[in-house]
Amino acid sequence: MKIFAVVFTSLLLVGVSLAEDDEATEQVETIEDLIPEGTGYEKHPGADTHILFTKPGGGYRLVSGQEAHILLGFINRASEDLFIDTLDASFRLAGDYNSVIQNLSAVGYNRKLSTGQEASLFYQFHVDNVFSGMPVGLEVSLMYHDSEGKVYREAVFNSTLTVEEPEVSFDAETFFLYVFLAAAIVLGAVLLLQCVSRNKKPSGRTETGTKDGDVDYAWLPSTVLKQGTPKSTRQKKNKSE
Amino acid sequence: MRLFVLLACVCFTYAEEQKLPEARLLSLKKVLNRYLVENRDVSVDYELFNVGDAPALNVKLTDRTFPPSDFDVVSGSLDAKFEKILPGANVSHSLVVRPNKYGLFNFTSAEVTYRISEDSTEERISFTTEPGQGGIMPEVEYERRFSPHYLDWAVFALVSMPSILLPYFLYHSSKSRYEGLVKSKAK
Amino acid sequence: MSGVSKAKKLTREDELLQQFSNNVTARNSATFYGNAAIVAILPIWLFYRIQQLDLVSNAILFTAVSAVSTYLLAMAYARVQFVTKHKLAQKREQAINREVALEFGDRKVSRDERDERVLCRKNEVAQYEATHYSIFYNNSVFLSLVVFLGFYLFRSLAPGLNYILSVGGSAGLVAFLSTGK
Repeated sequence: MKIFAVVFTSLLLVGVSLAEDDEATEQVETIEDLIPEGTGYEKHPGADTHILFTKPGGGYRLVSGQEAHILLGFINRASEDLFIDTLDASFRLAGDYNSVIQNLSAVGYNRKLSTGQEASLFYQFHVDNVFSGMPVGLEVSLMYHDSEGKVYREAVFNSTLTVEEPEVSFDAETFFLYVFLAAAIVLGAVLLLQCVSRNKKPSGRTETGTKDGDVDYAWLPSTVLKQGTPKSTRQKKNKSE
Repeated sequence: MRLFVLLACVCFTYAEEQKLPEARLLSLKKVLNRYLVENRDVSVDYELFNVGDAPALNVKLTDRTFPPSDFDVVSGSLDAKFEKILPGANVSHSLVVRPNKYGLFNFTSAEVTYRISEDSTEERISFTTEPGQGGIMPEVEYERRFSPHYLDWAVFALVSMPSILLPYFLYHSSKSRYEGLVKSKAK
Repeated sequence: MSGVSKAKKLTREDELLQQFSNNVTARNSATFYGNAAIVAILPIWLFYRIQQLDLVSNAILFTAVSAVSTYLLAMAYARVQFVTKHKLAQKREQAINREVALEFGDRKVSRDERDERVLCRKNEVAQYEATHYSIFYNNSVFLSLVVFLGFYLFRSLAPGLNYILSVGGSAGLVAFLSTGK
């Protein structure tokens, strides 16, 4: 397999050089050429990584407002020991990978892997609600070093994902919105009814005095009661007037 | 020039095909408890994902991180065996242990060994994820903070009811007797 | 005859004074202290089981706080009883008049004797009802305060401090409230 790889690369180089000779294009020096890309760390040839999103599952997906869980497998195919240091992630702008939107905290592992051994690393982070619906570049990078102390950094995941919206079963905001609307409707109905009933009110409410049967004479001692009945007193009063 | 590129592509694809299919297991070890309490069950969950191209054979999961002096196995076992895990499939294994001491405990990885393909005899040693350090709290503190104590409240209510209801009943009976007298006369 | 009746009235006056004074009779006092002691001990069960306050090691704390709460509760009982007694006496006057009238029936009794009987009975009933009402009211307030203070407000404090503050505080508050009306 390696022989074929060598053949392929050599052929490609030859092809490219031939192409360049054919089309003598001008190369303008840009800023990107002066400032090196990345941190300057490279990947160890013996490191074989594989990333899996366990939450939310089903491929490479991110759901806003929820935690995302990543499982990273690392096989040490080199002939020396490798030491895994940290795993960190960052959200970048979908178009421009060099502008970081959010740096997520790094988790340290400090694990030693001998030749041929494999380790699984777990990493989790929270996807903020801000990212809901927008495409975002996620870069997960692993830092490790070898027995000589040389540090390596590898972007185990580096691509653009569109953050999905969560499936909401119960939203407090909309619930209380409905409650408020219901209350407003009820209030409106009550006010309406009041207006209607107010129009009916000023009709025939004559003031009547106390009638004969309403008064309780039980508290008066019997002697006083014998003196005069209310009718007689009224007659007396009428007579006096 | 184009011919060269075409040749290069052919070589590349040929080179790709030569890569042998092999299994690759990603293993996750999780402690499901929110609180770790002395003498109370702690649930540990293991999940193995095969993200390779070939089935993983003779998979053995061994957890040597719970010394028998400090942990009793309540259910499940510290070892698990899976004959075959197909590519794209995942399996899980659970274990319930009970710590008999309190203090800080570092949950480290369990070990998984598997054969990467049918043709190869290579047994790969794979380590699961580490849940990390956890504090096992003493039982007394857990009791005080978390149990609902329904029985205790019920007993308290039962015992305090006489001291409240009895005087009220006596007061009420006398009061209603006299008020009844007033009402009956008024009628 | 008048001398004897005067003497009788004096002692009667003394008796009446005694009845209307603030001093509680020995029997009443015993009732109060007994009830107060029982109620002051009740929260100990709660703190022992829920706050995990060990009985034996904190025995001194328990007895001290219980003693103080007992005293404060008994004081509260006496005060509330005194206030309620007068209110109740006024309320029950009519009913007792009727009751005494029913007792005597058609017999001709002197006004003095009837009034005396009414007064006596009124006092008795008012005392009885006021005692029980006072115990009921103070117990409920005390126990609810203990539960509220001990298991909501001071929940996060150390158990010993929690016990002192909630039980002592509730007893103090109950005593304080009793001085109000």
